[in-house]
Amino acid sequence: MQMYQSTVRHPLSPEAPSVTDPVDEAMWNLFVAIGPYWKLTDDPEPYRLRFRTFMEDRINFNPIYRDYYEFAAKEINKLIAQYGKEKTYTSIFSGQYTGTPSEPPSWLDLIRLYVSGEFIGMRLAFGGFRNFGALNYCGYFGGANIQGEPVPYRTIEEAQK
Amino acid sequence: MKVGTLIVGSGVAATAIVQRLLEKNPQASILLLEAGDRIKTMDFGVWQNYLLTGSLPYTPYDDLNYPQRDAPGENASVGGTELPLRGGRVFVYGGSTMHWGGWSFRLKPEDFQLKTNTGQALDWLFGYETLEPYYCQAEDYLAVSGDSADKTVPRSRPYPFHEFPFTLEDKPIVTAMEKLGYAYGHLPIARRGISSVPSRHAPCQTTGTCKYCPFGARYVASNYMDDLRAWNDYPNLDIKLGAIVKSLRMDGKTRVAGLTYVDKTTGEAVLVDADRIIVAAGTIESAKLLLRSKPDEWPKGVGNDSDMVGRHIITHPYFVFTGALPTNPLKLQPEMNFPTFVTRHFDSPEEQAKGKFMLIAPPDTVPIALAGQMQGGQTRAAIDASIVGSNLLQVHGMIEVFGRFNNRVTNLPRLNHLGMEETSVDYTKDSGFDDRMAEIQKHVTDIYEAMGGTLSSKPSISWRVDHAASTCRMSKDETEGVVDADLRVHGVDNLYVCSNAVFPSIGSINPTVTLTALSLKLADHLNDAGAQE
Repeated sequence: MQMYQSTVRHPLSPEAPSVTDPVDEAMWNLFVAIGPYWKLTDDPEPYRLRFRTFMEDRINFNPIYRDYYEFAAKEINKLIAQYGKEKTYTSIFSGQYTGTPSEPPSWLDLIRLYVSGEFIGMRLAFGGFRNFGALNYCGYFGGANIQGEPVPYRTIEEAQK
Repeated sequence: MKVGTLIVGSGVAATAIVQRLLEKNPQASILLLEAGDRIKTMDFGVWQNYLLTGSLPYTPYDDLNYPQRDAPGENASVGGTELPLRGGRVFVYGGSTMHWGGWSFRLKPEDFQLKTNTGQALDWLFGYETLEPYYCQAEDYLAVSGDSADKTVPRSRPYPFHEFPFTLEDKPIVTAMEKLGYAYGHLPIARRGISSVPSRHAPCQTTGTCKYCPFGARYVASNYMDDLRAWNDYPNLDIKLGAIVKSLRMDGKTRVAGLTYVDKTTGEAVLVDADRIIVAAGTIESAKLLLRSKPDEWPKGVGNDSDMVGRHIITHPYFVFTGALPTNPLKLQPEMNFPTFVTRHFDSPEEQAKGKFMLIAPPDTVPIALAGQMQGGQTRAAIDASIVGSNLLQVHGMIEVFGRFNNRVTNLPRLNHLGMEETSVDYTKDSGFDDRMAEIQKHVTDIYEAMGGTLSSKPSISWRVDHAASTCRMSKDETEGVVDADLRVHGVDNLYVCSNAVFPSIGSINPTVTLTALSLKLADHLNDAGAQE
């Protein structure tokens, strides 16, 4: 009798390809632009490797993400050529997906849903959340609760000191 | 096929029993049958997807909603009060530990004497002192972090890991407790810490994604069962996934001979004989298995001559109070994914007859959602203003309700989307429940005032079956319940039930530590009785 059934459901595919360097650069620039737009003071450079890994993970999880990233890079580069970086990033960050089930999402909606929106989530989880006053955040690896060591989140006790 | 011990289910009860049996006899012959599939745990890509989308890999293995006008759904709610099944349990390898919150309370001594104290339901067949050593072992097994100096419930030895300090978000309610003179404490939580005891399991990294922990720091039974397989030499331990148990087979009236299951992969019926069977399939499925097993000797279902199986179902109504915090100068916001504060002030002998209740400060007491605000296009100035301005302020809790004969679960003659018999839930809340909730609201209103907030409305109440219990409750004989003090089905020498189903009552707190303690106690009983029946 087998311990494991033969049809384990898991979406990862070891064959999924990674992003190309130009796409990676366009996506990294979009990720970095989150900081100035929301006046985040954390330095994004330490996130560089994790960001690349993040995109690879998303593609491994669902291969359509490679298309999302390639499509976003192409459209964003076109916009930047026409309007410049600041206006381009502002147009992406200042809006939100407002489509309805009867109306297919626009290309900008797709970028907001699957690219910039997720980048915002990761930017906060990597450490950007600290700009808003907290010490820990869902998705951030705050660290263990070790007696005698600093607590990895804000506590009543610390606030009273 | 013939095995020594056959266990139906693969959740915390099954896994704790297996581990204890194998510690005594590494050669023990044990087979687990699990209807569900394997969900990969501790996978970074799956975790990342959950973080970004809120999508969990095991939700396809939840019940569907009850049928609606435009959606066929599954199962049936036929009573006056709907007990939602969807989200309350998970049919996967590891059972509902896949999604549990890890709140790890002990019952209080008075909970074991509910009938004596109030006339409600039944007393347990043993007292708190009998279970106390097993509570300690259960806390070790589940890796509970708690406050060992807390005197709320008597304890003979410390928690394995020290408590998580109160978050700053707890400050309003802690202030209120001090003003009102209510007792409060640290919520004991199954999150592994760091100690001198070596472990293969990682400590909690306060990552705040506990429904899918990337490290396995929250107990999930399948991780522990995998350990038993991967790291030990237990040649006669076996697990079969996708095995839907259809019925028990008897050898005369007083002995179970084995069971029949359907292999989901092949669709074939498989017969297994066993020296003893432990039904550890949760409160609802355990009762349903006994009910649909109708050999000639038990025409109303195994152990059901007195019509007790499936009866007396209870759960915890989980209530959410929402009010307003006028300003938020401390920028209180979620920093954790589990609560660190609890008050069991109203979980007391004085409240027992009316229904004890407990209150917690949820991890999103002030439910600020930064990512959502940014993704929604809000500016930095707007977000900053929203954080320090007026915000919502939440208090959650649970209340004890009492078992009633007419509240029951039964099988429906059709299969759900996973191939298992559907469930009929017939439940109607007590007529006095709404009045009791109104009393609780008065107390909570006082707490909100002491917090400097205002309570805006009645609570929302979920009757979901997460803590469902009592459908095979323990009793002195078969006229009042289904199993004896050793969890053996009345009238069957080698058939046991080990799930929340055997609880005569559940107090006002989460049942998993109590279930784990009962599981370890049962394993000791079986070990004392010999390797086989």
